[in-house]
Amino acid sequence: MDFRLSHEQEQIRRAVREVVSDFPGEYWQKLDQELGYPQEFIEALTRGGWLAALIPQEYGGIGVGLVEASLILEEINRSPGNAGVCHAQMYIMGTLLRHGSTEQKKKFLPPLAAGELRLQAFGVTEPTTGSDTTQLQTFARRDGDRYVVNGQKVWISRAEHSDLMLLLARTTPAGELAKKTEGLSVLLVDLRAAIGHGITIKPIRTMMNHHSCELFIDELEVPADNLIGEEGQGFRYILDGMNAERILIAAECIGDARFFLDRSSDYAKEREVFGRPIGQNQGIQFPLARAHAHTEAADLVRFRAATAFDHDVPCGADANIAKLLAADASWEAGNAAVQTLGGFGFAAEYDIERKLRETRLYQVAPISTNLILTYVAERVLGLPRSY
Amino acid sequence: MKALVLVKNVPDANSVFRIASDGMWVDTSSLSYAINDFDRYALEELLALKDSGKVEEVVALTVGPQEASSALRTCLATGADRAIHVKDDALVGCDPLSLARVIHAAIKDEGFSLILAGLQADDDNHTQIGGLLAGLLDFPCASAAMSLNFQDETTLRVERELGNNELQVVDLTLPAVVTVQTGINTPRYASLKGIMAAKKKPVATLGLADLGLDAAEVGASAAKLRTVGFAPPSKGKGAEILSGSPEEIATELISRIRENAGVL
Repeated sequence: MDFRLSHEQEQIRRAVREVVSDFPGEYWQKLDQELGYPQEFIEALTRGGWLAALIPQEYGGIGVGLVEASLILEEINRSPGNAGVCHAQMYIMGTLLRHGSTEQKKKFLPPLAAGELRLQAFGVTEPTTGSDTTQLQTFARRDGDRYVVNGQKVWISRAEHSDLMLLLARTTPAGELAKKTEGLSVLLVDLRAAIGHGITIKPIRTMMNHHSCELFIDELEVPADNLIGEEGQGFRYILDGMNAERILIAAECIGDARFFLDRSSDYAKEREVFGRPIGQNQGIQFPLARAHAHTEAADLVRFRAATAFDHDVPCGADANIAKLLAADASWEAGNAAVQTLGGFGFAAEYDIERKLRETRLYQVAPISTNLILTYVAERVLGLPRSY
Repeated sequence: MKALVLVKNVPDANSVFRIASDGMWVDTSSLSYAINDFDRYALEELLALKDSGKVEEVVALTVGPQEASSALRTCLATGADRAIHVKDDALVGCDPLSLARVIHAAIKDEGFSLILAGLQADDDNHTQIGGLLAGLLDFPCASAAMSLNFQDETTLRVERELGNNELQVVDLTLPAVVTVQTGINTPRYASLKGIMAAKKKPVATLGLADLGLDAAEVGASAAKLRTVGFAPPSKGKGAEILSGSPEEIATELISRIRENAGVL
């Protein structure tokens, strides 16, 4: 077993570190205060091809695997920045890539790879259904060569900063289905045309600058050509993209954890109280050391999951466990960092408080910790189903 | 024209530096390495010349152990076309003159018209390789370049940085060697595409035998410059840490600069 990264993977780490070094804490603090979107940061990542990592070369992308993609996002979060602003541009296209027609892929993937089009919104969650995706209500009615969609979506991140959106909608009423996992379909919606013509977007103010929105869909017309894959199979299509998402989010949490540990270790070495560095006190050392150990454990599962994904081997359990462990580790490290920095941990200019707010999300999204525990209990350990 | 950039893998400035137990160098076990910062500017200068069509091929060369190949990979990922890695255990402890002889042997038949290097290496700071190599090749050499401009096909105008912000302007007849100051340009970052493309770019690995050289000529035993001591600088006198609120410190600092240095 060789746990070392390849030369190219090491270079990816170093190169992303260079790119993000142009975007220091002040940049992100200002955006946080103004609820702004990091346009210049996205442009820098696009120029370097970083967001096209997972798009195959034949469609103008780079065609590396999830291990490499996860390194990119980890390094972004190891800086004061936050990959949540752009990670979806990397992986949402996976549904199109795996289940779209050749024509759809040829039409949309090259401009996505070039950064000319943004596909970084996925309309799944609804106000009344939450994690129970099979119960969603938004309905797409086939009408000749188009679908007419009505419904409502919530917590749709980056909808205001995306040209295209994948929309999961019901195409067969729930009462007419033999299997509750069928009857849902994935539609590719051109938000540029849809906003004001069937879709109204309302941003939701949250505890961090995450650009999340509510979508009101009223008689939205979507060309039938924009159906991804087969009608009624949408739930299956989105499920296989979720493992990738969980592994990538795990990597972001590991980046966050390392940011917290880097910053708090540096502080604890420098800051002197009672004539010696506070890092000499085991009360400071142990929480940091424990958080580091938990981060390393999460990191191993992340690489095991990502490697399995890249080899097309089932990775559901590892993807979920990696996300659970990494989200716990980043929260633990952030908490230890605040304790280490004392008052400065709460000061915006130290970046800790903001990144702690940002990393808190990953106990809840894109899947809540409880649902992962349920998955592990029932799917891995074989315990009776709770729902 | 073909151009060469000389690069070195040096300890990263963020490394933990401790003096080694033999007292002759730093303890390398705790170091992480990166391409010498000065060399990044030299590489960028050549890549920009390639972008503008002046240079057709950019080759990167390093002399060093296996790990030094990471500096070459950085060059290839950033845009160099191929690389030459000279490595041989017999070169450990060689002096700058021997190193220049090794590089000379590796490139003398390549026909490079322009050879760039960083002004100095961040670790040993010898600043010698460019000049020594130019001597061995019988090429003109300009150091501390702040700009490079072609006057015609064979004349390169170089602005050299002197003390007191003065610039000396010199014309070199190609082929030539130029060592480059930092700040001459903004080095580009490696792109993901560049990193993946670099895997397919050729890297020639050469040992002393391939170069027709003998360890007795260029190895540690042949060194005419030897390290005999290594120590951190003694603590300077006159340093003072100002205390007070940030405003008070700033006020005091400005008054000291005004009175003592007379620059404000």
